[in-house]
Amino acid sequence: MNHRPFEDWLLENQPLTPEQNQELKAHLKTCTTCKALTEVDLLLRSSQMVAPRAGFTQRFQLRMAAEKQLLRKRQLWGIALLGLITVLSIGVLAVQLVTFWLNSPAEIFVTWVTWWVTLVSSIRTLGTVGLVLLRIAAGIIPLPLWLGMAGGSFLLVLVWVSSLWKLSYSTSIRRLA
Amino acid sequence: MTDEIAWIEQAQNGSDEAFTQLVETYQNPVYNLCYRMLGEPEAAEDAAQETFFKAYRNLARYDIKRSFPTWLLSIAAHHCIDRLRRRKYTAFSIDDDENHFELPDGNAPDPEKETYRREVQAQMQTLLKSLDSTDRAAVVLRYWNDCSEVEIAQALSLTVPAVKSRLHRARRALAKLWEEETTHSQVERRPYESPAF
Repeated sequence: MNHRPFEDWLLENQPLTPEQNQELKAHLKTCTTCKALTEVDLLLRSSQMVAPRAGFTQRFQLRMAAEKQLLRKRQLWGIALLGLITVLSIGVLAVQLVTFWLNSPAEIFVTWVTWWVTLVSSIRTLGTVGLVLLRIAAGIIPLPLWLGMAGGSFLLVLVWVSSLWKLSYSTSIRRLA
Repeated sequence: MTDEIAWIEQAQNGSDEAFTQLVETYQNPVYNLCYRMLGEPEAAEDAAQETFFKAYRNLARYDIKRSFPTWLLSIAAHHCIDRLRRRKYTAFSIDDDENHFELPDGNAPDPEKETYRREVQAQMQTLLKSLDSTDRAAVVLRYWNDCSEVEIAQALSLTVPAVKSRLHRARRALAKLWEEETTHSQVERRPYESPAF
């Protein structure tokens, strides 16, 4: 019989018949690989558990107390920061309201219209500049290069989306463990 | 077992004393897994403490139908695998503890036996160190924690066939290394003898 079935018996830890046992014993006398496999298995099985230094639980309790204190501190800082943000927001809103009530309706209307006109004209200018640049680029860059660039961008987006999905999937699996 | 469920439920309801009982019960298997994975007592202590702290923080998400020790060992294994991966990418590694050794306990009932035991432990650690971190976790869970292939698969987020193949591969690798080491030590121990032709 060749080496393979003996290795399988050892790796699978299958229960063997007395005949198979005899065959295995005979094989172990000649095969160093299977002998090493048996010895390592024995070594692993005979290895003892290592215990931590005495007082592990007390050290954990101390650590837990310290972490809890840190958490409480963080919570207090969080609450303080939230309070500050709220007070500041209320302050800004109050200033706006006061300004609004102090101004006449005509002034408010003019400010509002000016703001919108500026926004719309900025967008239109940007659009025009973009179109001009695109026309210039279309004349310079040949069509195959355009297609290559579009394909490359699509591939990059695909890689980005798939890596994001993989990352979020593996994190959720780890969180569940 | 009933005690364990009661402690878990009490701990989930905010009892620190109940969680302390769980730490007391499972400190050895968790520490042993961390020690076998990281190979250093200080790092193992830190990883075991971190494991219990992670379990404490996520206890509300623990499903009571699952085995608690498997869940705990899963946290420990993932934590150690992450640590080993991070170590791989740092220039200075605390894994380089070649000079770390334990002195034999003179007060032990049989110092010779104790020295032999420590030698075997050291050999074991050297062998384990040669394995990839996930394979190492699978071997430790199998041999020290008596976990079934299904439990290992759950703990390491693998499939059962993957666990089987990893265990086979790891045992083959360990046997190869063991074979090389024993041959090497046999040659080293007989320097006065003429080589066999």
